[in-house]
Amino acid sequence: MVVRTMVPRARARGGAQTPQNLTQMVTMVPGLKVVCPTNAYDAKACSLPRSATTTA
Amino acid sequence: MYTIPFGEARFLREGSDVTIVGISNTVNKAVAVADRLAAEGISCDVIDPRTTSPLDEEAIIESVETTGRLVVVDEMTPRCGIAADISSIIAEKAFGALRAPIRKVTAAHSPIPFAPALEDAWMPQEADIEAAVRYVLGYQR
Repeated sequence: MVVRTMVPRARARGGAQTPQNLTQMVTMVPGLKVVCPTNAYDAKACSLPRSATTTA
Repeated sequence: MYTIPFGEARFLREGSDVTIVGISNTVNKAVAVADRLAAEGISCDVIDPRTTSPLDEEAIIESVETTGRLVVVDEMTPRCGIAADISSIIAEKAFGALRAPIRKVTAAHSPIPFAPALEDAWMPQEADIEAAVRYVLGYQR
């Protein structure tokens, strides 16, 4: 299952509702794969099923 | 097609003076700083790990072994965060290569403020990254 969530961005504004990044909270869970893409290509390329199966 | 395996870092700039690791949006800021510093003759290795779990430790270690200096940029809070994690990995596995202390550039250890001016101060900015790079480059034992 892929869960997509918000990524902060400078000047996103809105306090804890938008620009706060809590990646560390999911990264600490063993077994979860956490992707932090910087661009649309990476976001798509790391979300497709083959990414998971080719993981070392 | 169009897939990238997890745990495979992307190299955005190649340099020999300092390694900058960015997470998510901070990668773009790191690239902007690297390009600005390149005009002064400071060459930065900019790495985007792309996934924080699994993390491409090898790419960062390899880079630090060349540069001897590391700046980790992350928009998360500093305690128990990704920047702290990467710092600890490098301190543990590439200590011999380090020529300066590792610098973390993170948000403040506080809840994120709502006011725009405070949010800007809270969030790591390009000037903060530049200051960290200059610190590690100017460090004398």
